[in-house]
Amino acid sequence: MERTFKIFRYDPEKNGKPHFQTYKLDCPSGCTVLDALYNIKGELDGTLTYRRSCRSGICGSCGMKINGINCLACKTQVEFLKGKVIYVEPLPGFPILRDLVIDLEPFWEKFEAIKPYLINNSKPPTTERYQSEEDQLKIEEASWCILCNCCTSSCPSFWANKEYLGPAALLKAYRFVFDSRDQGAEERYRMLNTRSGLWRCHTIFNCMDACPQDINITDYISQLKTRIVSERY
Amino acid sequence: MRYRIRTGALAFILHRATGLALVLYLFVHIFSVSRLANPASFNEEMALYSSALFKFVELGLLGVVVAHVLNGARIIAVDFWGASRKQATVFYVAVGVGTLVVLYGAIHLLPAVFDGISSGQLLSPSYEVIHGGGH
Repeated sequence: MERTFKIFRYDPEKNGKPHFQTYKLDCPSGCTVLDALYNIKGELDGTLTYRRSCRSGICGSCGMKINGINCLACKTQVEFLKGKVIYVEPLPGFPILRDLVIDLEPFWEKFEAIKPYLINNSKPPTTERYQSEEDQLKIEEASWCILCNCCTSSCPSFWANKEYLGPAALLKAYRFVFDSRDQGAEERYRMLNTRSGLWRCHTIFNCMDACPQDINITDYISQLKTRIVSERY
Repeated sequence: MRYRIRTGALAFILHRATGLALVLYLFVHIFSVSRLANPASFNEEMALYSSALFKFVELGLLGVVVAHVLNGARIIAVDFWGASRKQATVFYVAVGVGTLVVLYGAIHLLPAVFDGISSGQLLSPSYEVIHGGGH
């Protein structure tokens, strides 16, 4: 079935203005938006630029805004998209480098700020650091994050304040603060308990709607809020 | 294309808008209370508030308060009772309950509004004012 794509185009080197370019393409059943982008780049327009890698929803490279909502292009099938025209745009709220490629540097800065690694100053045991099944279950779902940036770039609080840590970094903070083996909670609270930290989350739920891993992000952020309030105040 | 507004974002926009409206109302309220210097001015002001136009505004105020309170309860449910997966359902329940409360208010407030419109007296009190009343 032939579908019409309107794809965001921007090339700073050619001094071009951002605009939408229309492509018409035959999309068989099962065709994903990423398949369509491959076909457009391969057969219609080699200058189209986008990020992709695994094509199976695990690398998190092909996050983009499709028909007004953030998702992974490789996990979105064309036949389930409503409307005559399919709009494909880069993830909002970040500087655009070219076409569908954004500058992820601000995303990684927020991510590093909450120290996304195990902090444990006790002497390492000869085997691994054990954890009960119960404790593991507390952080399991939060560990599913593939860092695709669909959540942070969908968050109106982040659009309004680019200093805000954003849901991806907060989710990672939860993953370590609630890890029974981790001792770095206090260090992380210093980043979380600020004007641009945890309290900028206004439970808008765009992050959960966008998350391709279907992680209960808002709930984990709420648990962090409760933990900080009960320990600090 | 703009970002699609779903239930959570809609609830947030409503919460922010009603919150700002309530802050604005608070100042109007303080101003009106500060003018109540004696029984006569109290009666005069209460008479104005009983007029058709103010009854209509009061219905709006009820709607704003109910929307803000119920969504506040929804946020509490999300933050403390783990309702985030069910937030859309909770939102629709809140809309249903809010509509019933505002309808109940409308039954009591709208007759005075319609009276005022039919008589063309939008700012006249809906009862006789006793001038210089009080102790």
